Amino acid sequence: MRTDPSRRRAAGAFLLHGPTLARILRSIGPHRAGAFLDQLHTDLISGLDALRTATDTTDLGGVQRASHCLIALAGTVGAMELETAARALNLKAQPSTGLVDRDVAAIVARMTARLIAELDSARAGAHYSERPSA
Amino acid sequence: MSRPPVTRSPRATTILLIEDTASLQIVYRTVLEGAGHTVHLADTATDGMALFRDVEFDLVLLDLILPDRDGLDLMQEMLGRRPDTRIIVITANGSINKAVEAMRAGATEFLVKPFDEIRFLDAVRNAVTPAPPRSPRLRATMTPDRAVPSLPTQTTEATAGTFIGSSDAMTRIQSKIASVAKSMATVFITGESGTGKELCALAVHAGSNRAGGPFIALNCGAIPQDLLESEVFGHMKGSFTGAISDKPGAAAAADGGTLFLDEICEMAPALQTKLLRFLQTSTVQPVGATKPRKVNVRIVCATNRDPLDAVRRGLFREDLYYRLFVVPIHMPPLRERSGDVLEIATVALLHFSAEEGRAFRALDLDVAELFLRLPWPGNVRQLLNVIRNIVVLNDGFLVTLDMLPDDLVPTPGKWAGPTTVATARPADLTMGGLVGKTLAEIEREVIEATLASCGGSVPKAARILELAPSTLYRKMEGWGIAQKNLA
Repeated sequence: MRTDPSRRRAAGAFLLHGPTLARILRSIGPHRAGAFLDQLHTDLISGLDALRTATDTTDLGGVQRASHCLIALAGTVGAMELETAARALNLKAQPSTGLVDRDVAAIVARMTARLIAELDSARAGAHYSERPSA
Repeated sequence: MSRPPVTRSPRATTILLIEDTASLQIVYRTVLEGAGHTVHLADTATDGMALFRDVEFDLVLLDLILPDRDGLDLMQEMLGRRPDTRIIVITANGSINKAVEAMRAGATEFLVKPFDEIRFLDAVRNAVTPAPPRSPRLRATMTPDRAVPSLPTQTTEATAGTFIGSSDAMTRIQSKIASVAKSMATVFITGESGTGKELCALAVHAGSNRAGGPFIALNCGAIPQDLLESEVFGHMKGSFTGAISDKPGAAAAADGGTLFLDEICEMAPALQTKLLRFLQTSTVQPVGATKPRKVNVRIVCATNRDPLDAVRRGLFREDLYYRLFVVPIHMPPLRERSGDVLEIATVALLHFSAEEGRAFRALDLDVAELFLRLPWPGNVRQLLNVIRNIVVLNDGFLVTLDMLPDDLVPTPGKWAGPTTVATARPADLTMGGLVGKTLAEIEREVIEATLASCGGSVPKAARILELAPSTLYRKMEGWGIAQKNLA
């Protein structure tokens, strides 16, 4: 069951950083904001799937690629906690260390799922001047 | 929602963007097109290379992690085909070593994800703007008799803010500074006290495109911890007792320029978190302010500690370390570049003599020989103090032995006085200069000396030290030193 957003905000539990997201949307402009949010949502789901698959199969390269993608996506919308966790996972998965840290991967996966849910809420509440074209 | 005004590029450039994450493609492409550039997009290395073959691009923006090929390989193929190509590498934190490798292999710049619009457009603008010619290096000229080589007159004018030294170590550092100055990359300077870390930071600033902007230096170790946040991020009037007016803070004061954070490892953990947030968002929120403010600042930081050791001991945040430790520059102690001692001493002598109205032009040969033998535990700062002392208390054409401070030449049982730095101690009481250093510093010295004695061979040095070669490689990586530099 999803927690009431206002209570989660009060508890400081949001991953999505509103001012950062607003800034990036301003940079992109209103005509592409909707397309961006939709694509971000899709990319986060792909990243999460890729991370889960790579972790299950102990695919070091896959973990590197998935965490790299999640660092960039999380950082772009100011989800600092997820970005930091994904960095830790990425660092451990470098060839010099060669470790798929399942505990950290699980944390990253949980946070990513939460960010996707928050993004859903943000998209539902967002107003765009133009919906993305097909 | 309206778009903010953008600064249009003075000349529209054609850019090849190779990035596989679609949402990031939207961000990069929109911002670039908004700034007046033409963007061609590829989401794989194969497609990128195909476009590169067909079109002559002004700039390539390249993500290092691509689905079908390593970005570094792709960059090397592009540079092999067109060596003048300007390439900006985009990477996440875990592949910073690779990004540094890319810079060495010919990349113009690298950007660390996540996206920051100001840094991104700055990097693009810098990459497509031709660099100004570098100033010629200072060279010594010869003088006769007992005097050691002196220097041309113009060097006295160049003393302030200029590195002096022709040793291989300093030549490498100057070359590194010249390479990284134009970049927005964070520079992390390490080195003992008195080795010129702030001068190095100033040189990075002076060589950058933000040289016309402010250079703000902040010593994190010299400011009380409870005031440090206010010093870095500023405060609003009435936000705490004593806040009698609004204060912008160093980060805002450095907007458009460089913020130099000295003794970074002394920063309190709570403030480290705020600094990390600042680095990630490029926004500052003064104490008591309700809204953050965007600033455009390049960070250069320094420490006389081993930063990785500070991380291991829990004194410094690991994530902040990896954010900051992008381009490391290690300033060697003066004893490891004794060839520079006379050059620095002579330049300082001419400079201080001009300031104090003295006639000194050179060092006597005996003085020069002594200077070359001394260990200079206080490094360049100690040498400058000694020269200043000589110039203030004496006059003449040559500096002779009798003019030297009494405590410069150590005698057993006698500690160095105020004219030399506090760390100067008699050599026979310091186990060859080891006493007074941290274990981490001693460890590094021993490892570097062993590596040098083995011609830079890590396996040989590892056998002598009874360590695993991988341990040595890790330590070298942490110190930012390359194997070839120790050969």
